[in-house]
Amino acid sequence: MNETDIIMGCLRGSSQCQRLLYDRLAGKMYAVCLRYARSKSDAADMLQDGFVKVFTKLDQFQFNGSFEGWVRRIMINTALRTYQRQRFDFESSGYEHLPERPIDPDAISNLSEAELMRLVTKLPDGYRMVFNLVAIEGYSHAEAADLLNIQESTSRSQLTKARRWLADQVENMSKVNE
Amino acid sequence: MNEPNHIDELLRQRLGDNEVPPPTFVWPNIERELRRRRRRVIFWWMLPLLAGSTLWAVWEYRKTDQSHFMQTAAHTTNINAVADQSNSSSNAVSGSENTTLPSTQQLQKDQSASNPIQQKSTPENIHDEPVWRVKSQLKTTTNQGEFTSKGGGSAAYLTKEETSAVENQNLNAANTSVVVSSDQATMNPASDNTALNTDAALLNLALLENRQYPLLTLPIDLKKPATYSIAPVAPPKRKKVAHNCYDFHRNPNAWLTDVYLGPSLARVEMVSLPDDRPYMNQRLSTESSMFAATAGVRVSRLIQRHFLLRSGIDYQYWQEKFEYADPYYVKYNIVVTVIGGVQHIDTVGIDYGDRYVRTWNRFGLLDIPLMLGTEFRSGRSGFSLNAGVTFNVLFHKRGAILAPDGQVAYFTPGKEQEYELFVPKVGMSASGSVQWFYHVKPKTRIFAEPYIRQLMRPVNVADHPVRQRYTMTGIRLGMTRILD
Repeated sequence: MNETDIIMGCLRGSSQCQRLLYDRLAGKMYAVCLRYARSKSDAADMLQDGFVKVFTKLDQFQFNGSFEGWVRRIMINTALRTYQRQRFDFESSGYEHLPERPIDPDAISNLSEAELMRLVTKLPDGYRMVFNLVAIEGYSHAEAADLLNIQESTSRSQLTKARRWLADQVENMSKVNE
Repeated sequence: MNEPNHIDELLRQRLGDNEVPPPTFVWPNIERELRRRRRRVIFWWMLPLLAGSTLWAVWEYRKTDQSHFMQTAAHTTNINAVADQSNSSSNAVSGSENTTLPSTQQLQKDQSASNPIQQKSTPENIHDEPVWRVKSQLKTTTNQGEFTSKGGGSAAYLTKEETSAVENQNLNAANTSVVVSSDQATMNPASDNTALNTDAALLNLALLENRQYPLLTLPIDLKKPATYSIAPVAPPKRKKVAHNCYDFHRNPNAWLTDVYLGPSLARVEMVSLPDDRPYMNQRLSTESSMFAATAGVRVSRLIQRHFLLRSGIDYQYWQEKFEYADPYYVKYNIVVTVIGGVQHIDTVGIDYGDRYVRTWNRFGLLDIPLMLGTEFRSGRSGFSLNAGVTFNVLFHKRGAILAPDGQVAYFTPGKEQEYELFVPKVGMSASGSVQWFYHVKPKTRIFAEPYIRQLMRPVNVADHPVRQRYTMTGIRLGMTRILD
C-alpha cells in the first residue's frame, strides 16, 4: 500500500491502516521527541499524544506536501506544549564567558547517532529547545522566540551557549575515546 | 535570520532523519485512547437523542391523555337533563334557583342512548365545542457543552523560487492572524485555548527552505503585494488551578454528593369539560396554594470534567388551603315543649348562615430523580445545566375538597368515608434546573439551583370530572461535597 492508500484507510477508521502508518513513522518521530524530551518516558508520552493528534486530525491534511513533515510539525508542537506547561527556565550554564570556537567535524563523525542524541538530550532545557528549533528544524530566531515566548536576543544567546556546551562535550568525548 | 553554523549542519545531517525504535507500550496506549474518543463521540450523539425522545414522549402522552378523557366524557349521560332535575328539586328548599350540580354517580346511573356531546352539535350551539384550557408546557433541555474547531487558509506547496521570495520578505509584526484547526479544543473541550496560534505558527512557518513541508498560506489581500507576516503568537497559557478549586484535570471523573432544601411553588392546572367548568371554578375558588418546599440528597457522577449523571432522593411538599362556606345552608332553631303529653314544636329562629369548613391540604412526593447534566467552571465558580425525569415512589396526601355533589369530601387515606380523589402514585415527572455553585473549599461547594418540574400525569383518578396537574418551581439551596 502506498502512503495515500494508508491515509485514506485511516480516514475510514481502519485500525490496520493506523498501525501501518504508525510503523512507518514512529521511528523518526520518536527520534524527534527524544531530542525535545528530558527523558525517554517524556519522549514516549510526546509520541503517544502526537500520534493521537495525528489520527484525530488526519482529515485536515490536504495532501499538499509531505505527510511526514505534517506529522513532524505535530510532534514538535506537542513537545513544546508539554514543556511550556511545565515552565522551564532558561539557564545560565557558566559558558557565557567562553568564546565560541569551531569544532572538528571529525569529532562529530566519530560519535554515533545515539551518542549525539544523548548529548542533545543532556542539554539544559532552554538550550535544547532553542537548539532543536533553530539548529536542527531550521526556524529563525524570531520564530523560535515566538514559539517559546522569549525575546529574540534570548534565543540567540541560548543557541550560542548550546553550541559552546555541545562543542565542549564533543571535545571531551573525543578525548575519552582516543 | 539564523546564521548558518557548521555544528548545526553537522548535527542536522546526523540527527535530522535519525530513527529510534519507540517503546512497545506506545502503540497499545494510542489504540486505547482512540477507542475512548470514539465512545465519547457516540455519547455526544446520544444526548440530543435522549432529550428529543423525552420531549416527544411528553407531548405524545399529553395528547393521548386529553383525547382519552374527551372520549370517556362523551359516553356519559346527558348532563343538562339531569342537572335540570336536580335544580327543580332543590328550589323547594331554598326558595330560589339552585345551580347545584348533580353528583357524578347520578350521572353515571342515567341511561342515555346518545352521545351528549353529539346531541349538542346542532347548528344553534355549534360553538359549544369543548375548549380545553391547557397551560404551561414544560420544555426539557439538555446542554451538551461546546466543541469548536476552526479552519482557515489553504494548503499550498511553494516552489523554490517562491520560498526564496518569501524569505526575503520582512517578517515583522503582523497585520494578519492565522487560525488553524484547534486540536486542543477537540481533545480537551474544557481546557484553555492553548496555542491555537502556536499551531498556526508552526504549521505556517513552512520551512521556508523548500523543505517539502506543507505550507498553510495566510489569508492575503490580493490587491496588496504579497507580504507574509506572522502575528506574534501568544504562548499557551497554563490554566492555573485557582485557590480553593478542585483540580478536575487531575481527577476528571469524580463522585459528588449534594444535600439541599429550599422553598418552592406548586402551581395547579385544572382542566375539565365545558359542562364541568362550573364545578372546576368552584374548586379553584375554594383551593389556594400556600407553602411549598423541597429537600433531598443527591449523588452525581462527573464524567470527563463536564458531564453529570445525577440521582438521589427528592422530597417535595406543598400545602393548600381549602376554605368553603355553603351559602345555602339554613339552620332552623326549634324549641320542643311537651304540654300534657303533647309535643309542641316552635320554630324560634332561622339562620341563613354559613356552613364553614377550612382545612390545610397537605401533599408530599417522594421521588427518585434521574438527571443528565453538563457543568462549566471558571475559577471557583461555575454553573451546570441539568434535565431529566423523576420517578415517584410515594404520594402522601391529606385534606378535603368540594366534591361534585357540592359536599365537602375528605380524601385523607383511612378516614371514614374517604373520598377517592387522587391516584396512589403520580408516576413520572420531567424536570430541569440550572445550578450556580461556588467552591468554598477545594472539595466543598455551595450552590443555588432554580428548577422547574412538571408532573406528566394528572394526580386525580380517571372518573373525576376535573383533571388536576401540578407544576413545581423553586430553588434548591445546598452544599456539594466532592468525594475523592
